[in-house]
Amino acid sequence: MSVETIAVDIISADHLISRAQKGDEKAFNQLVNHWYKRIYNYVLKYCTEEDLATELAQKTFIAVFKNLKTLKNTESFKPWIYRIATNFCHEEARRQARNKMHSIATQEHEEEKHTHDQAIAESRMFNPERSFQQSELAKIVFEYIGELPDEQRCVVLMKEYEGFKFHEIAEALSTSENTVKTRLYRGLRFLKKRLEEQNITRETIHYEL
Amino acid sequence: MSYKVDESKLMDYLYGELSDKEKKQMERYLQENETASAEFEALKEVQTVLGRVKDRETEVPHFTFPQPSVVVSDARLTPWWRYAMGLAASIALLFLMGYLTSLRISINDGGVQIAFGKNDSQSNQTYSKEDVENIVQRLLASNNEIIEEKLDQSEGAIIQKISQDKFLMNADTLNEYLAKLWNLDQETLMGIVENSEQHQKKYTDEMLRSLAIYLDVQRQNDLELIQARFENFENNAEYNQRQTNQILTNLIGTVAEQPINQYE
Repeated sequence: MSVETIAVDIISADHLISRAQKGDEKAFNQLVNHWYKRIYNYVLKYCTEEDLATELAQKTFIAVFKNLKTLKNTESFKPWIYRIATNFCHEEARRQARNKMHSIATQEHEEEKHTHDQAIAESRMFNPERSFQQSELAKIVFEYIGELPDEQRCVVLMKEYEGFKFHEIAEALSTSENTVKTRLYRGLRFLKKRLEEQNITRETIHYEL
Repeated sequence: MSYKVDESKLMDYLYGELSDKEKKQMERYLQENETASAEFEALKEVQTVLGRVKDRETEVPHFTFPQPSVVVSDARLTPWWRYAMGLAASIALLFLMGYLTSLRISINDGGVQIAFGKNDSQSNQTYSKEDVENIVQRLLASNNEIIEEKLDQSEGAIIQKISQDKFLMNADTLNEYLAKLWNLDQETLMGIVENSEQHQKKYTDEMLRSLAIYLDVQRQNDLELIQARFENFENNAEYNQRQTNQILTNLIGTVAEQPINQYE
C-alpha cells in the first residue's frame, strides 16, 4: 500500500465523513480532493477512456453526496465508494455491450491490430533493449485488463492498484473472500498469458523503462 | 508434508496477508515444489508488470450543491400539532363564514343544495296544473281591467283635447254629434250616397272635358311642328338645287371656253 493511500485513509476519518453527512459542502469537497484521483484512476483502468472515466468519476461523487446519509458505518466508506464506482462501471459496460456492433470494418481493424501486435512482440523478442514508453505499457496493460471478465477485472484493480484487503474487496462486491481470491488468481493467470504473448516480462520492463 | 496449498493461500502469500506461521509453511512448500514455485514466480512477475503502470494525474472538480440536504430537511420538519392547529383554525373559519353568510347546505331528493341568505319557505311549495291555470287567469283578468281603465282615461283626454284646440267644441257637443252619426237611418244614408255620386259624376265629366281640350291642343301643336319641319326641309332642298344648278352652269361655261385641240 502506497504512502498516498495511507494518507487518504487517515484523512478520510470519521469526522470528515460525518460533517459531509450533515451537508457540510466544504467537508464534502475535502473528501472529493482526497478520493477523486483514486476513483478516477480506478474507473480509467476499468473503462480505458479518459472522458468516460471523468464522467463516471463525477457520477460517483454525485451519488456519494446524495446517499452519504445512508452510510451508517463511516469506517466502510472506502468499500462503499468503490462499490458505487464499480456499479457505474458495470452499468457502462452493459450499455456498451448492447451498442457494440461487429461490422466488417471492425473485424478488419481487429485483424490489422492483431498483426501489428505480433510485429511489436517479435521486434521486442529480437531487440530487448527497445525503448518502452510508459504510456505504451499502460495502454497494453489497460487493454488486457479490459479483456478480463467484469468480476475479475474489478478484483484485480482493487487489489493491485487500490490497496484493498481481501475482506474489503469482499465487502465492496458483497461476496466472500474466497471468491475474491479465486477471481484474482484467474485474472492474474489470464494477464500472465497475455503478457507472455507480447514478451512483456520483468526483465524487458527493467531494460525499457 | 501435511500443508496443502490452494489458490486462496497462494493469493494470500502473494499479497502478504498470511500469518507468520503460514508464511513459513508456504516458503518451505515452494522450496520443495518446483511447479508451485514457478507458478508463484510467474504471478509475481505479472504483479511487477502491473505495478509499473502509474496513476494518471487529473484535475479535481469542485462540487457545489444548492443546500445541504440535512439542513433543508430539518427546516421542512413541522410538528404534528401545527398541522392540527391549522386544520382546526380552518374549520372554525369555515363555520364563521357560513354563519355570516347564512350558508345552508342540504341534501334532498334532487341532490345537494347550497344556498346563502334567509330560508324561503315557499320555495319548496309545489303547484298543480289547475293552480297554475287559476293564477294565470287571475293575472290576465287583472291586467285587462288595468288596460280598460287606461283606455277610458285616454279616450276622455283625447275628446277633451280635440274640443278645446281644434273645433272649439266642448265635450258634450262632440258627444252629441257622434251620437247622431251612429243614429242615422237608411234613407238619410242613401241620400248622402246619391249626393256623393252626383258630385263624383260631375267631377268626372269636368276631368274628361279638360283632358279632351288638352289632347286637342296638344295635337294642334304637333301638327304645327310637323308643318314647320316640312317647310324647313323644302327650303333646304330648294337651296341645294340652286347651288347645284349654279355649279353646273359654271362647269358648262368653263368647258365651253377651252380650245378643242387641247384634248387631242
